[in-house]
Amino acid sequence: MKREENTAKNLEDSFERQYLSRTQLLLRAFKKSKLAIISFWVLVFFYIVAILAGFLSPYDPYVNELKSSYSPPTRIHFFYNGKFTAPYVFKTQTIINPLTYERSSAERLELASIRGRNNNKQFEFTKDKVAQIDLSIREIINAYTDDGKKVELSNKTKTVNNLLKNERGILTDKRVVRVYKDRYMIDAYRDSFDYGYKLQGLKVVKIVRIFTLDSIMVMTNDFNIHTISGSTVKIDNYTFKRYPIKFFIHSWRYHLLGIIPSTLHLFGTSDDSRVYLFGSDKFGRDVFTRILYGSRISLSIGLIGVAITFSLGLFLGGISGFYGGITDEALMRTTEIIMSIPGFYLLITLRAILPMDIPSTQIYLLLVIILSFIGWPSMSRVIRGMVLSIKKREFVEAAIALGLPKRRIIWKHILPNTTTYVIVAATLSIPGYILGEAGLSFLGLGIREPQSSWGLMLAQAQDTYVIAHAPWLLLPGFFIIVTVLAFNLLGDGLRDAFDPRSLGM
Amino acid sequence: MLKYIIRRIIVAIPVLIGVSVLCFIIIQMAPGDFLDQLRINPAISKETIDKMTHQFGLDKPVVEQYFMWLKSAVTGNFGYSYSYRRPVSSLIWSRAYNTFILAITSLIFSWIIGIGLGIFSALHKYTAADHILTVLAFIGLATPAFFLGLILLYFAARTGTFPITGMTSVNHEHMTTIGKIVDILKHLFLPMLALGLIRLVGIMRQMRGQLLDVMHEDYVLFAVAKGMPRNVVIYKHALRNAINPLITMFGYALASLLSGALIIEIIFSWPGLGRLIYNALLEQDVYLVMGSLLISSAMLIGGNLVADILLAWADPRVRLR
Amino acid sequence: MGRKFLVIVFVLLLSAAISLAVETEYRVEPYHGQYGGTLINPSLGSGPKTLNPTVARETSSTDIIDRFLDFLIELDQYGTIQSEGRLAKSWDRLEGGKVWIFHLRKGVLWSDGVPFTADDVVWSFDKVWENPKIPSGGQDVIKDAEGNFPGVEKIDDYTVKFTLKMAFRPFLRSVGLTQILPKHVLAKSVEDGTFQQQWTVNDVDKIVGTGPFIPSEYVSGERVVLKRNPHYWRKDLDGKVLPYLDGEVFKIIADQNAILLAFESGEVDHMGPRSADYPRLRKEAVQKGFVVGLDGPTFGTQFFCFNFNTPDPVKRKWFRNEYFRKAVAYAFDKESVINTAYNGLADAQWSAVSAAAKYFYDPKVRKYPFNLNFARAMLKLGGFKLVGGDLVDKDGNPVKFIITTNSGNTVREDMCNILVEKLKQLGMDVTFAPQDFNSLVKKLLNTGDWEGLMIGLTGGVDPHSGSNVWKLDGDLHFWNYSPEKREYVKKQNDYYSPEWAKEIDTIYKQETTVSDEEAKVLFNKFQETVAEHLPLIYTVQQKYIYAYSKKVHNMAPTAFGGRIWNEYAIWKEK
Repeated sequence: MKREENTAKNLEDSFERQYLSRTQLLLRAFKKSKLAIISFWVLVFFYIVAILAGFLSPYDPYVNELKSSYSPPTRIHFFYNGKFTAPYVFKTQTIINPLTYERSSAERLELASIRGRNNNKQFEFTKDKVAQIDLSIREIINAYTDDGKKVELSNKTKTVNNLLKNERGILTDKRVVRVYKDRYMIDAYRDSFDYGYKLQGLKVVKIVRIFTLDSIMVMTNDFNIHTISGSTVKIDNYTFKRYPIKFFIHSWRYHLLGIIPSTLHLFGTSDDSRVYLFGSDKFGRDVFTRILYGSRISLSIGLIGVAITFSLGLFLGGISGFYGGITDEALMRTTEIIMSIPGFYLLITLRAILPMDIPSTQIYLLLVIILSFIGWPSMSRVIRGMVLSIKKREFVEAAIALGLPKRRIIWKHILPNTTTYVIVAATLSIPGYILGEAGLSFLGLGIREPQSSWGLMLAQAQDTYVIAHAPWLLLPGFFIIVTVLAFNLLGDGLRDAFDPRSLGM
Repeated sequence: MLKYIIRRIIVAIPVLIGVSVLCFIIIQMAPGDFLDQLRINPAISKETIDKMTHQFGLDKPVVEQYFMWLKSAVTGNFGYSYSYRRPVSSLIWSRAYNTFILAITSLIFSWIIGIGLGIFSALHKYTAADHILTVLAFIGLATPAFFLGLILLYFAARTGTFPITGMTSVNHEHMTTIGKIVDILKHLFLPMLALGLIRLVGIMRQMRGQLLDVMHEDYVLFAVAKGMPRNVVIYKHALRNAINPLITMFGYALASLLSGALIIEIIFSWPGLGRLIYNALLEQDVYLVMGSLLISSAMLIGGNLVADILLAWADPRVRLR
Repeated sequence: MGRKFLVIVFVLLLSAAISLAVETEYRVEPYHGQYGGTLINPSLGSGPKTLNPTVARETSSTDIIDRFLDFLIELDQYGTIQSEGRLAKSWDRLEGGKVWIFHLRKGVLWSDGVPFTADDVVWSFDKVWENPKIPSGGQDVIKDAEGNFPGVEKIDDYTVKFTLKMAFRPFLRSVGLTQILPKHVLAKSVEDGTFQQQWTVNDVDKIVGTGPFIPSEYVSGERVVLKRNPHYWRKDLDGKVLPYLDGEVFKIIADQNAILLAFESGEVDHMGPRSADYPRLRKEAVQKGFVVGLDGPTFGTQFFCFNFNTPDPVKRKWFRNEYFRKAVAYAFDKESVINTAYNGLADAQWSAVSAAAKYFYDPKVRKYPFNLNFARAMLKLGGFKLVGGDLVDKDGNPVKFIITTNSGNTVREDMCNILVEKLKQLGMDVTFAPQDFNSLVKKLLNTGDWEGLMIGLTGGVDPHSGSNVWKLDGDLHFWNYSPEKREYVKKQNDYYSPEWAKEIDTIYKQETTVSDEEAKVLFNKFQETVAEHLPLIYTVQQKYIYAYSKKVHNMAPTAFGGRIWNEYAIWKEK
């Protein structure tokens, strides 16, 4: 397709041809396709990342953190009280509203230090002295009816060691008031098991929740507990615990390159705080980590699958084309039968019969084998055709006449002539394996939990809930698209490069 | 021509028998059988299960089971579905027809749009429009089918323009003929789009490449040099030659459409063959699986035959023998 | 031809004469409503497979069969037996429960106009449900504790007598809920042995019933259409003959997400949302005109259990160790399961009987709230100890086992995931490997090659339905088969039968012959024994969620009957 440029430089080309080897020529032709070059480097990057998945992942991909299920990407703070600091996060928690059953994730602010006055007596607990600060908070819920009557629904205290952002006011004002006037929330109270019976037959116009600070309990490092009454306290200053993001830290154990045990990670956070770059899944596992780990399967399934398919295809196609006769007939009839069954139907039929009660790592191998089983017939037919035509070429006939062993002729003289085709076809067929694995995952026949693959992760995200409330779980789809795209563009570029016309010969 | 078709059909028979043997072997290798769901039901005793095993012939040797099936296949029944208690043939035809409708319309859709865009792309080579089309087409190619299907499903649900499930409306039976067709087309639109978009890119890229290649052939260059109008050169000479390889793709396109249809059928609740096979597989309704696989294979072989005939018709250099 | 025609005319005249002669005894239902409308139901999966009640085995089929076939007794929306039945107006229990006389409702017509009589009832039991050539799940239900069928005779056109070999407490519920089929339509097929090939999905035009709606159209993979039965035997408070609706449609939808979207866009009239979708529908309810609500738990139970006869004798010892099981029970973090897998919409379950079975449920059983320290204490009592972070038994064997469940059931997979992680914190080396349903069943019921398992069983109003599970020689006593029942247990020569298991066995042997009140006492004991010794560790139960369009009236969703149990009383605004 780049031919007119070539014709323009024709003179120059004929000059260079004598000085450039075939590889150099190929490389030069390939470099003309910018998209293919970009794709190549994207893929190289992906594969390096996949190999280093353990080092790059901040958390163990298989360990649950149920307190943070469906947590959105963690907010990384660079400022504290208006001052620029090293990046840090707060702990986050997922809360299911007991009335509406809505799930939400919020930062939990834990007090690190506190200073103030109580009955005109000064107190100060600095960060280095405090083990934990608990707050005892009284929550009163009142319902107001249309005739101005007040019904107390609840009045109880709870002790917490953290506050939500919008509850911070309780430290300065010692009181936070929330008013619900919309029908949705009023109905939620009316339908709830705890309060519903108190609201029967009443026309409620608003519900008011009042939080007041009952007391502050400070546990110091020497295990002394200081209780400060909430009604008399005046807090002047307080700070929250921050969890800085650390680089090159030691945390969970993995095997680098699958062999070297290591605990070193590129980044992470201390204690049980978490930084989710791409959010978390249902079990609170880090999506970023799982994408990295999933890439190992999604990226290798294509390579290994193609390797198996092409070895089978080359071997059987080569034999079939070279020897002919009964071997050829039997093999070709077999391929015909397999190719007559629509591929995906055959795929799920095979997958449905194969045992599931094997470790999820072996399921991976099984998938590769099934995917290759679907691919080899068409491959070997093409190779057979090529072998048939190459067989009639003079150099092969010469080799036969020289009495070279047949195996040697196939391997040394015939098959190498199919290389160009094989490389291009292989590159272009890798996406089929990646998408095939994703399709199987959608039907529940792919990789198994707790193992992850991009296809599985995307299939698990096909849920009305996820699309509306946790869209970050669709990210694996982005990576599938980019990878498949890159392989296609790379294959296209290679095909153009191998095209004799583009070599300038 | 007729001789050729008959010959091809005769050749297809041993292939189909091979398909049935292969499928039967694969299915028989699966652990468990159709009655497993009943075995774990507290209300059903072992004696009842034994009686059913005997009733279904599941206690007979595998080879005997196969020949029993083959006999019924020859008589046109394709065996007996355990869960529907009916001959398989009575179940699959309407489903195969529905899948065929879905596959053929999306084929036509992807071909018309694909060839159109391919020509456009080739004629506007290396322009912004060409690049945008190429990128969009590749993204379409790279998107997993179920992902694309679900995006369309959510889109339909949000806007409410197209029905989400099934192939016909509830009151389909009471519509006029035109109303019925419109009804089916409305239901067809989204699954067809989902299935067609995935295939579109291949056709578009192929068309673009072929047309560009042909444009450099000597006879085209000569025609241009002679001063023939550009449009005549392109549409009368170049295009006709460029389109031949695409016809060869037709048979393969049908194969991939049948395969791709399964996921789209599940997402849009389309009453097609793929869903039937999938459910039968999960339930281990052996003969239903066999029958459906055989029908889909026959459709595939038929598709290849049609492609060959079309090619002969389009390219006088090809002779059918 | 002519003669055939004459016969038909004669039959028609005769039936007309009879129907005129016998006044229909309508059952009056406490509803008001308006005629008209078609209710559109979602049907998840691949749609009905058959309309023959002896063949049907999944809800997409039985849901439709329940519309056109009736049984003798009637249940209310919580599953309690009512004093006035469906096809039986009343009944007498004689000779201590060995003889039952049913007085049939007079003047009931089949949907083709032929009168319903005692012949239909006698024929249905004698020739269909008790016929050894027609194997069906229903057959096992009507057998008594010793496996005998009840004897059936006709006294007169409207009286049927059942005679039992022994008193059988669940008799009324089992026989009374068995569908009565039309003799005049199906008798021939029983004789020529083609009964189970009758009433397939394509035979919709041949179907005759006494129910409110009769199938009229089947579109493969798409929908089943049902039409109003003009001869129905219920009336509302205003004297209108029911049902109100012109008909019903079951729309077959392959996927839960699609059902949700179809409901939101008005393609179906009601649905049972998953727990994660509940808040979304609640929010839309006012704007889009939905009614969305919650009900108590469902009847099914899910539990975790260990194989007492697992191949490895070392592991057998752990699994038979009560403290070990208690430790696992304490390590089961139900709250996390409820929040993660059920979005908060589930309840912890401690008893072997579902809380939905209100009469027999015993809330006072022992509970094992999540507490890893209690779990560690239990392990210590059981002779286990920690060595360098790994749990070992008293002989020093590291505790290592595999737990499984049927793959594809995401809720169970979630539960296992959570459990495995907690067990690891106790120092156990646990692997979770979900398996295909089919191969799992094979291992469970035949080879015994499994260790830990998360699975569920269907349940009912009466715990009697679990007798096959709990009796020592039960076909589903899979965690500890008796050596007589399974060869592999016999080979191990290591059968474990503790006192409490024998106690449960005795309870299940006694409960069929006593009254409901006495059975309640027995079943309380049963539930307490199970909770104390934990052969099965019960998990959580989903709350029943429903959503329907405001245009549909008289809906009364329950965990028992599904979203619709009173389809005859439902009407829909146009």
